[in-house]
Amino acid sequence: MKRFLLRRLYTSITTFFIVITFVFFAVRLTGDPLAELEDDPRITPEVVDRIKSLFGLDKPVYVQYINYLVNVFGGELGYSLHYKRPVIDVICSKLPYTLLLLIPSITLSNYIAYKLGVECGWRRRSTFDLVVSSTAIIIRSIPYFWLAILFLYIFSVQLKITPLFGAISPGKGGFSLSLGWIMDYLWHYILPFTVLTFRASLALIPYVRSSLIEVLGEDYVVVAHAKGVPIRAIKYKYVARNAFLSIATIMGLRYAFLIDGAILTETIFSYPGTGRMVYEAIINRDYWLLQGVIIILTLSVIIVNFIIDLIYALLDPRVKYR
Amino acid sequence: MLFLLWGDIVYSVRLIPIIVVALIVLGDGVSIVNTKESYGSQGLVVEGIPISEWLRGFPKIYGGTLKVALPEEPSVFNWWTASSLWDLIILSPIYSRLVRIINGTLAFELAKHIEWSPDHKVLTIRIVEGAKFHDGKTLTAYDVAFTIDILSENTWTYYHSYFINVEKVEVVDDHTLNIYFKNPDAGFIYNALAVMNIMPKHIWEPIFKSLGDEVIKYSPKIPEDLVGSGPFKIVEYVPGEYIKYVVNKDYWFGRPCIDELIYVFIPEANVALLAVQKGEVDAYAGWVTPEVVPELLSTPGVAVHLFASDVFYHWGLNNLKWPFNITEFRKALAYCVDREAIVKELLMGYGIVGNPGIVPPFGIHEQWCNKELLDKYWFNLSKAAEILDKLGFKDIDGDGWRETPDGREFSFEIYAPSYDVIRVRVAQLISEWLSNIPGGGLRAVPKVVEWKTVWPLIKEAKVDTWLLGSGTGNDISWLLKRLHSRPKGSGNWVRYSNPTVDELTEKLTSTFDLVERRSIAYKIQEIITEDVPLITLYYRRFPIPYRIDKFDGWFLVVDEPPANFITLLRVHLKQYATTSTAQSVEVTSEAMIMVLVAAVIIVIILLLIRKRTWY
Repeated sequence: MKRFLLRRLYTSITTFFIVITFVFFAVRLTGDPLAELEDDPRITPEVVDRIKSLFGLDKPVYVQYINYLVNVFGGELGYSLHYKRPVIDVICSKLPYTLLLLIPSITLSNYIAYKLGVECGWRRRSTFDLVVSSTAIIIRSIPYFWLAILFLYIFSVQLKITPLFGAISPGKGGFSLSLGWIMDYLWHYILPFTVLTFRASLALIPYVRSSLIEVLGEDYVVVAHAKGVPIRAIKYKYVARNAFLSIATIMGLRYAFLIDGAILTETIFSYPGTGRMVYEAIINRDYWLLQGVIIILTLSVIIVNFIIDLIYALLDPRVKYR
Repeated sequence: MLFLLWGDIVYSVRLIPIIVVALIVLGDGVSIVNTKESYGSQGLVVEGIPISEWLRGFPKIYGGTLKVALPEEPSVFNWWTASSLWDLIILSPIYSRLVRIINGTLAFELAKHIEWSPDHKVLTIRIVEGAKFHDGKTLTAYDVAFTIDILSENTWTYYHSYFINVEKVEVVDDHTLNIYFKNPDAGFIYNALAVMNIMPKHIWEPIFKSLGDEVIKYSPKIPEDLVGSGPFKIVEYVPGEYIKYVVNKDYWFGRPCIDELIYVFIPEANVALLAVQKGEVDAYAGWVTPEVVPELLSTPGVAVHLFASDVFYHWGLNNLKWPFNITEFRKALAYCVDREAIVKELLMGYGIVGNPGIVPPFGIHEQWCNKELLDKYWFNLSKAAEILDKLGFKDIDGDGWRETPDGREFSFEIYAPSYDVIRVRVAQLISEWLSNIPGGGLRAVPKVVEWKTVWPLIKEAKVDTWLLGSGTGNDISWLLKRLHSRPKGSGNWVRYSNPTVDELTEKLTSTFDLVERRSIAYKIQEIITEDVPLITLYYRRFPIPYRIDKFDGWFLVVDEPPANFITLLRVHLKQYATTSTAQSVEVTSEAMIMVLVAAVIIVIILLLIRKRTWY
């Protein structure tokens, strides 16, 4: 176990180092972050040069790279060029909304997909399977932004039961624990949450269903039936548990990409979050913010992968920490 | 010109009520004395109208919350470095300025008297007495001097380039200051003073002392650091959501009518549109596509303002590269562009045909625009063919395309940014027009690219031609930035070089006499119309929706969106309108109950399904 952990730690650090190096050079290939200022009639080249020097952009690339490595390993993500604030502050101001929206949504959609997928696979070719699987395929094929706008149109414009935009009503204030605030938050929360969960669960069902069907044909399932194991036990303990192995990675990694956010949801429902922030960082060539986001993303992928490996061993005793 | 074009607007009939309103307001503007400068006993007194003139005759009905949707969240609250339009919009209500440009004329806000010394090396400004910052401290000449000092000394500040001619600032007394100049700067009042928010010295001096240049990375504490002397105070900012202001009751020339102002961030234009239609916001600060205008106008209580942007969209020609360095060749190209068709068909009438002399023929620029040039270079392919024949560009091998005078195949590229569908289409249209030149076309290849990848190439003059939208400036001296041939050529991306234009643009910044300045501006426009360094295609007009059922007093002018500074000062509740707060609370709780009931029903159904079918 100890050796396993050490080895994982070693590979994780190597991966992290390679990724951050790649990120550093990749974002610098995307163009000059101050290009827009250069055509601004209010700005002279001297101003642009001074801003570049204050943000260290005038230094040779290798110096910038060394500074960057020192900063990253020292836990410092730098200053955002667009927001002119520490990167960590920018990310933290948006992260709570994303976490509160996405963690419950991913968890619930994973759960729904698991339950419905198992049911579809178990009763394959039944009416239930036909209805659920075909709905899943139809919804998966609809462009997400269209689906979201449709929900918004039905619930906010026609039925007028949910608000049109935002995570709270204008004037309600930032995070607070008062009942009024929580109710208002939930009122705004319900539609983006529903759309995200609805779409994600339906999108995942076919994976669960097909991996379940693969397992159904195994000999041990036939044996279990023959020796009279209760149906429910066969379904969940024999079949679903084994089928889950192949989809645990897909479901688990969805958490790793949290900070990537739900950019379309955030845009359409005017919901604050890290998704739009990432998009704007790319548009504005905000090197440091982009680096910061990718570093956090990499870290979360590495951590989640590590957790998934641990869960594998729990699910499948054949997997040993070697 | 402007009004002639309005006749071409596709939905002109539906727009008549707005046009009437706009005309009334524009008419208002015309009746107010135009800015002028007159020689006093000692120097040159700058004349302007007091800003309160724009508020005269509007009733003082207090109350109400004005909600405006903003398409993007501001990124920076530090005014020294704020550069995006959205940053400047959200900071504008909290600060005062010495002067402003309102409907093309100079309006005095904090300034009471402005006078140039006879040699134009000293500008004396007297400010009003009794103006206070939000924290109760008195606004004095020391604050004004501090602001100018910071802007002229710190090269990283956004407006620094307007203050490079300032040598020093001297405070005479609490309400008078002298600005000393290294070189005369005729555009200083329009360019620099009209955009300069007066920053409180007592707040920012300690910050500058402790951080120095690092203030560029300073994120002001909200609301403590965002103290100004403007009509509104920021009370709350919820990132990603909204920013809320309350009225400054001690605003020095009387409080605005509305109690609160809220900017809500709505990134998706369609949602912002719905929000205006449903009355959840009173105006939009972004713009919508022309297609939705009829639907908006059919919504009761919604009106549409046509905002004209002074960005000049042009076909940039690399004046350093052959054959674009040949004036006659550029002229031939100018005859191949149907500017009217672009505005009429591509922009659906929501645009103004480009002036060959670049200067926009409307708003603040109208007084400088040489309108006689507007009629030059109408679409005429035969004329283009004639010029090209003379230059030796002829179709020798009969393949339908013209070859170079020495018989080589000839083609060039037109770069257009992928994010702007209009410019992409313009590139295709130009290429089509060029291919139709009688006696053989010119082969132009439209290249649709991610803009930031081609920008360095334009800067280094490595590409043939491109479609670009470039900004102007409050004072006509912006022509120097776009047309002067100085090395490094920031702004003059086409690398145009003409010693006479260099001299004239320099003269524009050192000439103070208005009549003389105008004649210089006219002359420059004549020369560039003759030289065609670039081909101005159009200026865009953007439909902006706002509501007229709740608030009155919107200040509608061609070059400002409806929710502008003057609107904020004079907009007031209509007498019979109900406040929206009560309504929205009702809707909220009702909706919440319905949502809860729906949730309970869904849970019950799920439980039933689970019991009956799952196991």
